[in-house]
Parts: sequence; structure tokens; C-alpha cells
Amino acid sequence: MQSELVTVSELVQLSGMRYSTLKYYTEIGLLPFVQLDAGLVRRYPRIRALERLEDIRSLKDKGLTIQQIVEHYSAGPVG
Amino acid sequence: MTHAPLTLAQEFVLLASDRETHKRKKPAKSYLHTYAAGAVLIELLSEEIVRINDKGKVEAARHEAVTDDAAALMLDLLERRKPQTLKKWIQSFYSQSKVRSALFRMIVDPLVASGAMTEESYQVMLLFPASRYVPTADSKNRIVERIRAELLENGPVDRQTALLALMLEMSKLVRNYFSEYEGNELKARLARLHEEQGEQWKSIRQIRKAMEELNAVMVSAAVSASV
Repeated sequence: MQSELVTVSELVQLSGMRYSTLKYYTEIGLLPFVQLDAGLVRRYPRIRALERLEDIRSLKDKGLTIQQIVEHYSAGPVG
Repeated sequence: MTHAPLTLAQEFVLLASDRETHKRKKPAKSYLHTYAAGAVLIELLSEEIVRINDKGKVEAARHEAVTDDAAALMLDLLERRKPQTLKKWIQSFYSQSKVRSALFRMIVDPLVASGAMTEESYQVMLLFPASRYVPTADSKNRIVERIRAELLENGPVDRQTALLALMLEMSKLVRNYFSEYEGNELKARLARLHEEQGEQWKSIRQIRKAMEELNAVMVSAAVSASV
């Protein structure tokens, strides 16, 4: 389901990445999320978030630093 | 939320001045200020605005207008004073509280203005008024998360992140923010960086040497203070 929302802990399990890395990507605007009113919990659209993480991984493999990846997304439409 | 980029010295100060993480021994103000001054010099070296000449003395490599106040003051000092080795510069910062305090204020003032730090008043021995700077949890966490995201995951590492991690390692602050396992991973990754990013890291050997000299001065100062 495209609209399925997951927590950051679930995203850690699904992606195999560190919690702190996902939190950092969220803070710098690399990872799309929705924030529910109650308790301000952040939820991630599972498929979009995993696609974005895969995209980031491949950009890193091409030699881009995180800062360059942020600029890459800022330059074009953000998914 | 957007955050203005911080300098190496500002990021180091945010992590090094956090009293919460120094459970056993709080950092002396003189050490913190001297390390911060050293960070300004190291950043200028890494940007090749400053270099160490054949005689081992620090000099301006090119005359460039810098926007950071602390860097501008450092360049001004380098131009006005007699050329000396990096070790001598660090020793002079350690012994001259007026200069290092001026540099420190230039490093922390923008942090206080942006809300990354707060200035707290307190009394020394319940008598003498003093102030200290306290970093916010958000500002510290963000830096630590960036170090994890860059150095503990695959992919290239930004120069400033690597320099900051090197400074944390040299000043023995890694254990304040990272587990023993992560600390060992960080150390190993820093050691591999030269091979992985050789082109971007041409000057890393010189910078590592500069950090070792900075650390040697601080260690000898600590020993002198304890006898």
C-alpha cells in the first residue's frame, strides 16, 4: 500500500539503517514524513521512504556526500 | 527547519562544552578556549587559507576575506605577529587569556544568537559571578547524528565531519557521545579515509600533525597544572 505509514523504529527494521541516521535524514529534509497531531509522532510513508533511502544509498555510491545529496534534491522536485 | 552551517570550531565547542557529558571531570575553561582556537586554525589549514611553510611556521597562504569573525581575527593575528610554529601559537593561546577569550566569544556569540547555546550565570564558590555556555540538546544531537550518518554508514565523508571526528578523537571526547563499539568503528573509518578519499584529503597528514601538536600542548599543560 502506497499510503501505509510506519514508525521510525519500523523503518530501521525495514531499511537496516541506524535510528540516528534516519533521524538525521529526517531533520535535514531528506526523508519524507507526516506528523500526526497527537504526541507529534512522525510517521513515514513506507514505500516512498524506502525508495528514498535506496536512492540516497545509490547517490552515496556515486560519491556524493550527504550535503551534496541535500543540494541534489533541493535543485529538483523533491519526491 | 533550516540551520545555518556552523564552523568546525563552533561544532567542536557545542560538543566539548556540554557539561552533561563530562561526568567525571568538567573541562577547564582555558582548555576549551585553547582547543576552540586550535579548531579555528585547523579549519583555515584545511581550507588552505593558512599553511605551514618549509620552516614549520604558520603563515597565510592567500589573502582572502573570510566571513567568520573568529577566522578573521585569527588571520589578523597571523599577519600582525611574528611567524611561529603551530605549537607556539597554541601555547600562546593557552597562556594569553585575553586573545583566546576574544576568539571564543566570536565563536559562541553566533551560537547564542541562533539559540544553539544559552549563556547561564552562576557563582564561583557562591561568591564570584561568572557565566558559562550551555549547548541545547538539539544542536548537539544533530552534530552527533551527522557524524554517525557519515562515518558509521557507507559513502563519502564531508571534510568538516571528518575533521570534527578527528578533533573529538584527539581530545578524548569520542567516548562522551559514542559507545566503545562505535568509537572503535569511528577510529577505523578515520584511518581508512585517506585511502578512500585520497584526492580530497591531500592535506590530511599535515592537519593530523597539527591536531597532534595541539593535543601535545594541552596534555603537557594538564601535566604542569597537576604537579
